[in-house]
Amino acid sequence: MAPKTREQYIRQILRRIRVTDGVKRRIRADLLADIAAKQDAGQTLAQIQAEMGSPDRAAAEFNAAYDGTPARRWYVWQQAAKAAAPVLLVLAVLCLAASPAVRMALFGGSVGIIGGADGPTSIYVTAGPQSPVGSFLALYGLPLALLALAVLCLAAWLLIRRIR
Amino acid sequence: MEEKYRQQFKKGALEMVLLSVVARGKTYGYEIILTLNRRGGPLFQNIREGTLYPVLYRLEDAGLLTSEVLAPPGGRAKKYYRITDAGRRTLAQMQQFWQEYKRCIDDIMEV
Repeated sequence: MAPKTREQYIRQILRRIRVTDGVKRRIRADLLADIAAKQDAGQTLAQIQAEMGSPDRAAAEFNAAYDGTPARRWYVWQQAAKAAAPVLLVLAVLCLAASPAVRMALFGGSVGIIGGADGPTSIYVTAGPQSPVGSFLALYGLPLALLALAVLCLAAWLLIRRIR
Repeated sequence: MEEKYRQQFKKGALEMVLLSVVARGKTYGYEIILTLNRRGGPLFQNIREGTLYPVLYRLEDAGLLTSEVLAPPGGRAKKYYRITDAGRRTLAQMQQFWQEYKRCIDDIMEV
C-alpha cells in the first residue's frame, strides 16, 4: 500500500535499512527535512516518492552504502542481542519450571522410584554428600546463568541502541 | 561503461566533491543534491539520499563537517552542514592529491 504521509513513507524506508537505531534517527531527521524542502519547492508527496523511489529502492541505496561499515556490524550485534534475550529468558523459565527431580537427576544425583501398596514413592539419592551451596547450584545454577545471560543481552541491546 | 566501474569512480571522489560543495557555504541535504544535479555532470547528476547521507555522516563523524538545525523566520527547520577548519585542510590536501593523481593517470594512459 502506498504511504499516505511523509512520516509513513520515511517509516517504511527506515524499517528496511539495516543500521543501528542511532543512525536511523539521523537518517530520519534528514529525510524529513529533505521532503519538507521539496514540498516547499512545490512538489507533491506522490512526485517526491516517484523521484526517491519505493521504500525498498530508497532503503537499498542506504544498505549498499553501509555494507561493510561499523554501523552495519553494530546493527548485526544489536539484532543478535535482541533475538537472544527472549530465547534465553524462556530457557531460564523452562529450566526453573522443570521438576526438581529432573534437575537433580541431570545435575546433582539420581532419583529412584519404588512401588508400594499405597502407590509409587520417589526417593532422591545424591551421588555423595552435598554442601548447601552445591545443592543450590545443582538446582538453580543453570536457570540463573541463563537469566543472567538474558539480562546481559538485553543490556547490550539497550546500550547499542543508546550510543550507536 | 559498465555501471560498476562508474560507481567505483564516483565512490572514490564523492567525499572530496561533497567537501568542496559544503566549503562554498553552509548548505543542507536537498540543496546539495540540487547543486550536484546542476553541476555534477553524468557522474553525480542523479545522486540520491541513500548515497549522499552516509558520506555526509562519515565526514561529520570525522570532524570535517558540522551540522546544526536552523529555522529561518517563517520557514521550516533545516539541518545545515558547514565545513570545519580540519575539513578545509583535508579538502586542500585532497585537491592537491587530485592534481597529482590526474597527472599520473594521464601519463600512464598516454603510454
